[in-house]
Amino acid sequence: MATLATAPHYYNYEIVRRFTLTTLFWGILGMAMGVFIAAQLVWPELNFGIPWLSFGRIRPVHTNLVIFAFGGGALFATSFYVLQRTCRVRIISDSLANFLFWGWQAAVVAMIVSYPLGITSSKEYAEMEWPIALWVTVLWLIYAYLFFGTIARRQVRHIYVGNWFYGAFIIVTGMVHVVNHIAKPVSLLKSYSVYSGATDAMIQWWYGHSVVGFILSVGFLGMMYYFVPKQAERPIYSYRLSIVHFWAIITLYIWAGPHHLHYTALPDWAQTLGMAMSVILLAPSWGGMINGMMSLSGAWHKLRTDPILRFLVVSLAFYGMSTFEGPMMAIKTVNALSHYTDWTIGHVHAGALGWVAMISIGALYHMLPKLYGRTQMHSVGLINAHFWLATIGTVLYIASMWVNGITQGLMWRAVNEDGTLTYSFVEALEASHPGYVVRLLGGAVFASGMLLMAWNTWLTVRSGERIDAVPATPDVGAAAHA
Amino acid sequence: MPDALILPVLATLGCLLGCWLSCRTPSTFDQASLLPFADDPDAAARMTQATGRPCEVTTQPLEESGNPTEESLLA
Repeated sequence: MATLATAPHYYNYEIVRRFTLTTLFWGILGMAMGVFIAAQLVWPELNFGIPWLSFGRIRPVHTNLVIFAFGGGALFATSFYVLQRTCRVRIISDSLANFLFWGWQAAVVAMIVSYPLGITSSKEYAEMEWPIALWVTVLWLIYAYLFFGTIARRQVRHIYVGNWFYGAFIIVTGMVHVVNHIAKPVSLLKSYSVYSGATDAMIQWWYGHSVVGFILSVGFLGMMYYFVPKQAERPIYSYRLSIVHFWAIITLYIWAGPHHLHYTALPDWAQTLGMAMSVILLAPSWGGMINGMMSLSGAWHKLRTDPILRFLVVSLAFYGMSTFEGPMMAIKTVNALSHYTDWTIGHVHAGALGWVAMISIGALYHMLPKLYGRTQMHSVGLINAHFWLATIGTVLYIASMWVNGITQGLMWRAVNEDGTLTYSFVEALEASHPGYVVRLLGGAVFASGMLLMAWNTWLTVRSGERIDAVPATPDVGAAAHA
Repeated sequence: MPDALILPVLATLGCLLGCWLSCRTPSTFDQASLLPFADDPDAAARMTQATGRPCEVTTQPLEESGNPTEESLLA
């Protein structure tokens, strides 16, 4: 492995700091919106009779904030951090990076303003109307240029595997975003998809599952492959496995979308293909999960004292759980029970809260002191409290949705001897109400942990002990052999 | 069988080809897996002490020209 003895430039940490802080801000706002709409499902009066406060308009604000603003922000921050450190080179353009930052914030604001006003394409996770979609495409091209341009100028011959995952996330997300958003504008704020019928549905869920697969899985696996080994101070368990994991997961994920359309007008062979690919997907998903977990070999004792590592490892446990649950739910006979029920909501949040949010939180806690020249976060106790709030909140959320989902599925399919339905929809809704209360509680507990994180970050940034400036060290290779 | 089913078959072959091409030179993997430590001498030293795996070339990143000022902390 050829490396230079010194990094030729200062790393650009400013862009990482900006994305880190906005990730926190949007995370709190997005989760608060989630808590609000969860409360609306407990107390529908919280609509207040105002159209733009209705569940249907606020829900995409929640999903877009947590996926694109919080999750996207975490990916921007960590990818720029990991990229520079593993390539040993500064990001290629500061001005473009700043443009990307402010452009992304503008896109997020445009999304959360337009949805409550009813300006939407109506496609799930792709609600942005054509001007915003076009703007996001431009920003994504800039992101790709910054990422791959920096890779091209790296000072290390080998491209670290975490960057492979980030790169795949960037390429595929750009591709599915463009294809799914192809539309015919009829006015400045309204367009119609060029696709129709079952084709439209298939394109939409090819995109929708690729958002899950390539933003929420592959992108965050890139994060995992850097921050888990670094925080555990152990190399990844098997580098060869990480490469097989990469090729297998990018090959399989793109085919899984049709499982969102079981028992619809989609051709049966496409549904079966989606099911089969989803089941096969279990293998690389668990391969990656095991690779991350086993990296703690000989370092498990650190979990007792290191809540950041606990965030990272528990996120892998939730990743393993949700990537087992997903393929099972993709099986058509299981899907016949689970689809359209709260089980799906529980599954999504096992991944969203347990995996995406927790690994992001762990990665941000790892980076924050380094970004601000501190030895560690201001309060390890607050990180520990945050960990337990996040874990308890996630468990309450997903357990309540499992119970609700199976209850709903069984009540909806129950028939009397004469073939009539045993239960009305309202009876199933009433049976779900306790679960909605517990879900609200779980979501609120999780979101309260984010407030602790914001407080801890503020204290770290403002009052932490500074590390004196460390002079550039030409070659400290000896330290590694000490 | 629909013609489109040839696509996942090709994708599987692409996966196998990618694995083969990427794993042809496994001798580089040992140091590649240590890249997260290669710009952090302290962490590299602790990792080496715990695992016995030396990080061949370790460089320390150049720090920013100064620690962030109060004004720039939220920049």
